Amino acid sequence: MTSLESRIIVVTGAGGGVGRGIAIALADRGAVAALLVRRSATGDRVASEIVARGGRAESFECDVSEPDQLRVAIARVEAELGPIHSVVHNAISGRTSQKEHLGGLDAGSWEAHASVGLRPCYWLARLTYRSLAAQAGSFVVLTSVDGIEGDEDLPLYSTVKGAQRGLVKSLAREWGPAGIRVNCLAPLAVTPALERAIALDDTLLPRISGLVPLGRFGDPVTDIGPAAAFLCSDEARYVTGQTLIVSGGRYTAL
Amino acid sequence: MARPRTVVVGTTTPFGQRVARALEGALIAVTAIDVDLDDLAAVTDALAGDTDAVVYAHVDPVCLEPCAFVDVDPMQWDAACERQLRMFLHVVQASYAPLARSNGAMVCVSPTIGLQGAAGLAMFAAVAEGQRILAKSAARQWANDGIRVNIVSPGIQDLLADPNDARFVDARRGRTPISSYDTDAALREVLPYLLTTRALTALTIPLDGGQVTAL
Repeated sequence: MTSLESRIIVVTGAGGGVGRGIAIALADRGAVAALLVRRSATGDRVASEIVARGGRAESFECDVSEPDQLRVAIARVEAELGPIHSVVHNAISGRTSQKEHLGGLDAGSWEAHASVGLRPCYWLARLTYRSLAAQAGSFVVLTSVDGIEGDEDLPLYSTVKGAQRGLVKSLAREWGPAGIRVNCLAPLAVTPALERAIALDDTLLPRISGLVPLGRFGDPVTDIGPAAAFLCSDEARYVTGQTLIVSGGRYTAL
Repeated sequence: MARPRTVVVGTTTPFGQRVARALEGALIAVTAIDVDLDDLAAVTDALAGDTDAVVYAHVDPVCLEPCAFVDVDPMQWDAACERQLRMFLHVVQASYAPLARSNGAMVCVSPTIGLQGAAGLAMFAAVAEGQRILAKSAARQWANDGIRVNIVSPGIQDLLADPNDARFVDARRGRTPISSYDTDAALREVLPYLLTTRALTALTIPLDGGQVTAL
């Protein structure tokens, strides 16, 4: 198993879904997971789960759309846990799964998506650069295949995911000489939103799973988490500026 | 009743002017709109009426100022990244109704830097790729309304006042297979095609002489 022994790794949106899975996988490999979560109750629950598995994690309440909260949270992580080795920005807007028509967007749509998905990339990069450079660390952004192909139902989510990829490729070039690797991870995974949809329609899971060559959606802990751990590890030391698509073979044209 | 028209957005920027000239060179009458792109209502008013094509060619010079990403202050971030995406979104939003009426077409200019990334131009790359994916999403969403949306991608060297500016070394990697590539001629040829063909949507065409071949 990839070793991340004692590395301090920040995970945003770690209170559930893919973020929780990544945090658990990182801690299973020895990392100290710094869980940035909007509600401390969810973060504390995931931290307890990690501790129960023998890992180390601390929860930090932080709305990533608020730069001041992000600044305080990163300072607290460094003061309480130590220098940050890696960042995994996973948080996404609560509006992510809401269909939107470009001819009739409401005024707050863009801000809702950009303030959680895109702007924190800027703040996290700025706030953690020195620490990442000092440790030859890794900056990972959770993007989506929608950020490559576009999506008719989720155009603003897709736009943010595309912008993240342009940013990541550039930061990989810019930060490579400092020894920092910058990558994207595009998962296809069971999320809380998907679980709710499946609960309402018992034909949904077999239908969508049939589209995946490996026959199932990814598990956040055992399928997606290890890919994030790889990108944060020395085993990925020659990987930067890439988008790792972890989709069970669902997407083969990208 | 007004005649159908081809609207070019961004003629206040150098590359937008080249796009307008290329269309005129191809004998397409261009309506340049010069409105505050931050103002959705103003953009909507400007595009209202009979519009059969919209070309978004706003390449803001503020995006072309290279800087280390860690030195970017929040106002710069907004000006060179998020504001650019918001402005394009406004044009996309305002284009839907007139283009749905005319079964028209939209073309977005999105430089290849979004596909490749470039040190010192991270915000510009984010804008370019965000715009490109928004255009692809619009193409998919609007296809059954008869609207086509495609993308043309010039290389960075076509956007610079001085293509040999040493600050852009990272963004100008690679050999151009077509050594005598003429971007203006390419715009004259490709834009009219994309505005009229009903066979293509969500397509990205690099206009960079063959440098980007990963699509």
